[in-house]
Amino acid sequence: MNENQLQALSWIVEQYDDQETPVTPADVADHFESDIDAVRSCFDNLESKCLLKCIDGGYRPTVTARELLELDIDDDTVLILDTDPCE
Amino acid sequence: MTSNDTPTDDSGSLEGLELTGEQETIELRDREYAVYRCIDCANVVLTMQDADGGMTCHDEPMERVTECKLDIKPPDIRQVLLDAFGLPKPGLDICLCVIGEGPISPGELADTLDYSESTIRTYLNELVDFGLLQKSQLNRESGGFVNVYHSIDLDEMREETLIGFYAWAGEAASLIDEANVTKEQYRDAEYDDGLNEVFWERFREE
Repeated sequence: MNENQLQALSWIVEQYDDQETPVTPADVADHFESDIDAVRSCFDNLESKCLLKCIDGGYRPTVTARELLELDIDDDTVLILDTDPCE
Repeated sequence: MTSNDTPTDDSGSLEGLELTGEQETIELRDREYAVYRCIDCANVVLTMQDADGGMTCHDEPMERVTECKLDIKPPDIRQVLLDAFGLPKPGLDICLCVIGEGPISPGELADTLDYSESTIRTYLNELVDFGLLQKSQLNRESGGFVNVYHSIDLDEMREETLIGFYAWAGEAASLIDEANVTKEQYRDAEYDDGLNEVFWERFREE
C-alpha cells in the first residue's frame, strides 16, 4: 500500500489519539480494506523511518510522524526521509 | 516542464514539424508554442499559450511566425536540463523514481537507482538548491533529527521551471544577438585578423 502510506499514517494518528491505545496492522487493514501483509510491510517501513514505534502489541505514532503530517505533503509527491543525516 | 512539451526523436528532425518547400523551412503553425514578431521592430517573442487578443508591440498586433527557415535540432530533455539548469540526469532520476512511492530512505533510493548513498545525498541537496525539492527537519524522539525532502507544488514547479528556462533562453538569445552584432561590426570595420579570430576573442573576453 505504498501510495497510501501517508494516508495510513494520518489515520493511525487520529485513531491513536481517539482511542489512546496502540494501533495494529489489522486495524488499518480493516479500515482501508487492504491486504494484511501489505499493511504489515507498510508498518515496517514506517517504523524504519522513525514514524511509528512498537508498543504493547501495537504501534503508536512518533513525534516525527506528527511533524511530518503537519508539513501537509501530498501522497503523489517525492518524499524522502533521511533518518541518518550525516551533517 | 517546457522540454517535455517538445517531442523529440533520434532522426534529427522535430517530430510533427513539417518541412516545407525547397529551403526546408519548418512549419510552426500548429505547435503548442507560438512565436510572434513585431512588424515594426526586431522584437520576437515566444509564448506557451496564445495570449487572449493576441500579442502586441508598440500597441500594434504582432504577427505570428508560421515558418522557421533555420533547420533547428530537436532538444534532448537531458541536455536541456543540464544546459539550462545544470541539473544532471541522476538528479532528475531521483525525482522521477520516487514520485508517489511514499516515505523512502536515501539507502533504498540508492539501491533502486544503483548509485551510492552519498551520491544520493549530494543530489538531494543539489535538488534543494535548484528548487525542485524542499528540505525540512523533523525532531526525532531518540534525539537528533530526520531530514525530509519533498517536492514543491507541481503547478509552482511548472511555472518556476518555465520562467527559469525563459530566463536562460533570454540569455542565449542575447548571446546570439551579440554574435550577429559582432559580425556586423566586423563587416563595417577594418580588422587585421579574420572574423573567426575577432569573433571568438570577443566572446572570450566576456
